Amino acid sequence: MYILMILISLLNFSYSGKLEVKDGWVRPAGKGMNTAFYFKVENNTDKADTLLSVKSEVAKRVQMHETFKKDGMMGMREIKAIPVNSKSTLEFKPGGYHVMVMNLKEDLKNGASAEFVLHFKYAGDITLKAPVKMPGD
Amino acid sequence: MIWKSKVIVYSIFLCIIFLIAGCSSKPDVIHDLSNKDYTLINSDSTVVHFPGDFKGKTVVLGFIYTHCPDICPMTTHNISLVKKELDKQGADDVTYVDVSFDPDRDSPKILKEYADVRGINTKQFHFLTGDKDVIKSLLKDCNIYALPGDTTVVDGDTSYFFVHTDRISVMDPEGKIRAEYKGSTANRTELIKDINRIR
Repeated sequence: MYILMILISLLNFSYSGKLEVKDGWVRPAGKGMNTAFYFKVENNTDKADTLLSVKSEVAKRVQMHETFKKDGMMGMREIKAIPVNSKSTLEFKPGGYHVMVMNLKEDLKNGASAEFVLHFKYAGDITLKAPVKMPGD
Repeated sequence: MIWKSKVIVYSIFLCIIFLIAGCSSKPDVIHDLSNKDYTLINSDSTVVHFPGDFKGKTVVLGFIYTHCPDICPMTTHNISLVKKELDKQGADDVTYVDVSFDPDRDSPKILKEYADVRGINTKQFHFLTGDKDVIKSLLKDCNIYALPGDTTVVDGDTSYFFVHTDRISVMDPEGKIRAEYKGSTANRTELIKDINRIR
């Protein structure tokens, strides 16, 4: 029985990975201004999850947004929850999903970093420290 | 047999002529601002007559608002990268301008901070704002749309965002816009190629 349990747990281990947040970065911006936080969510588990919110102490308000195109113009709108399918990667990137970091409490200059807490429905809170940089740096 | 050879030679000659003409001729004028005079203010609070003060230089022109977190910083960054490449080529007859379509919030001081935090030298890359009606007139003449919307209240302060045209334009030394690109995702190789045809 004991051996069987070990085998089952090994089997589970080999089939279910974990949900990871990686490659985060923030665009530089001055105090009182807005900027964007980008990252990737890699869901290597067998279960779909949902990103429910993002928080940070660097700004007065943080929201998840998406950039959209309408009549040849670009705009942004808030997204309340974003699903992350199993065995897939969700990317927050310039011109797409982004975390809008509104009314910065201090300057975010190139080379600095900012901490964000991402709240998932099942994976719970995941904290990521993101460097402040320009794309391509 | 001789006439066949002549036809081939003439055809090759014509192809070369068309190729040279295609490579060197300037693109058609899209918007002519050469007789316009928009009185604007730069990030040092100095009055700028646009496009007159830039006459003789090819202008790489972006349209932005500094509270934009995603699209407009990409436009500014693209112009900065184009500048970096053209500086390497010694293109000192090209200058770089971002015009704000949010003059209510984009004061010279805010524009200076926007440039400073990105390490941009405002003596070489100019940030312009101005009177709302003058900006409106410039936007209309360049076929740029910027509609305020998506209002959010943060700690009692109302913050709004724009739905706007995403554009980088290239203006020739006479003040005529001859090329337009999507600002945030412009193909910089194509943009530089066009700038070199226009300057």
